[in-house]
Amino acid sequence: MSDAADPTLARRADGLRAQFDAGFAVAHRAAPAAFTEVLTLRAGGVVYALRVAHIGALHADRQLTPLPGPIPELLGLAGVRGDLVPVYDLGALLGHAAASSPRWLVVSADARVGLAFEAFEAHLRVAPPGPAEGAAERTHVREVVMTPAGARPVVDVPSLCEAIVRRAAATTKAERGR
Amino acid sequence: MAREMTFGQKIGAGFAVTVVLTVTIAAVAVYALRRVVHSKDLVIDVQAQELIDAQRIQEHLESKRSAIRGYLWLGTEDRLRDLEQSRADLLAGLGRLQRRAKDPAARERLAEIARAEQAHQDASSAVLELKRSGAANDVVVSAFDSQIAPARDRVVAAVSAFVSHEEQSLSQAREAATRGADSATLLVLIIAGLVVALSLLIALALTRALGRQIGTAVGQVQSSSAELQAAATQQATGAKEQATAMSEITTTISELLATSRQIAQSAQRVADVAEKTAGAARVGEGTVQRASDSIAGIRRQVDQVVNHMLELGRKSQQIGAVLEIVSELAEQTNILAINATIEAAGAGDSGRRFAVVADEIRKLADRVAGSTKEIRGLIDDVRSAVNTTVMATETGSKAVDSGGRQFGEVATSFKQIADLVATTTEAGREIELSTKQQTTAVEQVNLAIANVAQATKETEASSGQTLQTASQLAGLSRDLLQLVHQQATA
Repeated sequence: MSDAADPTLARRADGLRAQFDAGFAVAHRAAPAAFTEVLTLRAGGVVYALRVAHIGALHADRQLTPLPGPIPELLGLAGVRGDLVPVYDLGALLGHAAASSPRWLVVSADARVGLAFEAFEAHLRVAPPGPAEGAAERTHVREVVMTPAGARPVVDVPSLCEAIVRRAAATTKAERGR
Repeated sequence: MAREMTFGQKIGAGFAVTVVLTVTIAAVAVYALRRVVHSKDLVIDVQAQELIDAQRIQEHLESKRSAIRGYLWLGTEDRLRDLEQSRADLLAGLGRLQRRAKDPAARERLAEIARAEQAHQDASSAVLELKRSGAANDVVVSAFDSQIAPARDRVVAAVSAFVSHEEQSLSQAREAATRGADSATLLVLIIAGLVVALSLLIALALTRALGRQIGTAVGQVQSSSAELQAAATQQATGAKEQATAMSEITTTISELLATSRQIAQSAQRVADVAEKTAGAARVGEGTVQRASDSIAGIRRQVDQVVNHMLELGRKSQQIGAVLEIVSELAEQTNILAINATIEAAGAGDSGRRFAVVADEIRKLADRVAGSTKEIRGLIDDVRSAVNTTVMATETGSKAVDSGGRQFGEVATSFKQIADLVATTTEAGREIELSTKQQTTAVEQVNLAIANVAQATKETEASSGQTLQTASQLAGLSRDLLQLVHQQATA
């Protein structure tokens, strides 16, 4: 049985090895000018895309320490590379129902906010995003990218982080005003 | 006492008395006859013989006289011998008379005869001597006339006197015998009269006694005859009904016999079929046992398959666990590659080469993740198939267990069936044997019933005869009673 299965696995391993080696064997070439690297994911039951340029790191199964506070989207604090980062539910921030226990976590490029979501799909290099329908009405989702799996709205992480900061500041001010 | 005697005893006693009287009459008659015969014998044997002897003496005397005369005339010696012979005969007859004579008068007369004869002899001897001496015939004749003739006359006179005496005695004896006979006849007549009278009395007494008792008995016999007639009538009616019932019983027994024979044949067929069934059951029992063994082997193999499948499931779980690690490693590698890409993008142009490496690593991690997913799917399929196989095998094992139990129950049932069939066979044989015995018994009963029916018919016939006889007996008893009453009345 193992003798019958081994050739297939061996061929597959050989194929992986050949593709990996081939990736280094090709000559250096200029990267295409117009492309955007995105991460596709699912938050609040909806598939979104995040620009890699807006992300500082991707993590999974990070331990969250719940933190009481006036913002319901705040899930808690997580330790990322020696810093404490507040982690918010991305789906809830985008107006969806709060996830029960989001497993994945991305940290914004400025390392100020962590966004938790349910599932990570892929890291894709796609054409530059275009404007999304009704972008003017939507605060943090104003673009859309085309992936092999279909169109994906792009979440504007800096805008979202800015809104969170503003909201936190406002909340802090309100707390201090009391 | 007389009441206690039976008819036979009474009649016997009457006959005995009659016989005694008859014997008495006979004895008296015999006695009288013997007495008469004796008297007659005495007359004939003694008196007549004496008369005969007396006459013979006269004859010898004449012979003697003739011999004397012959000698005197002729002078021959043979005359002398005749003379001597005649005298010897005379003396012999005289001697017999003297020996038999018991009457003194007769003895005296015989003695007188003897003396006269002696005198005659003496005279004769003298004359004969004279003749022998040669005397003249005249002298001799004179002497004869003077001496022998007187002597002869005296002898004749003496013999005549004796004969007269004897004739008188004979006449007296005859009269005495006649008187004895008359007296005996009279005695016999008297006794005969007495016997007749006594017999009449006995007959009268017996007639009266027996008439009363026979009348009573005959009356009872008549009553009994009537009862017997009624009983015989009932018996005849019962015998006829019994004969009818026996005929019905015979018919029923015949039907029962036919049914018993059919039952015996059916029982024999049942026993044969049961025996064949028992053989088939034994064969089936062996087949069931082999099938049970096969099921046990299947169950062992199914257990082995289940164990192997469970082991395969455990191995699949282990592979899944390893694959989980691989998947996690691929995921972490992917995360690292993504983070490396992010860092390389942040490094500008210097990070471009690193970005290529990170991108290749990410692609490899993606492919590994894809392969891992594929393997996971395959493993899931394998586990699902294993689970399905295990469940199916467990179901099969349970089915095998259930089948084994059911087969065991079937085997047990088959064994019970075989035992029951054997019991049925035995019972069938017993039923067959019992039915044959029953058939034999029914045949015997049939024969017995036939005999009883025959006996019943004979009883019916004899009842009719009994009734007829009872009727005849009743008629006879009436006639006899009538006769007895007539006799009693008479």
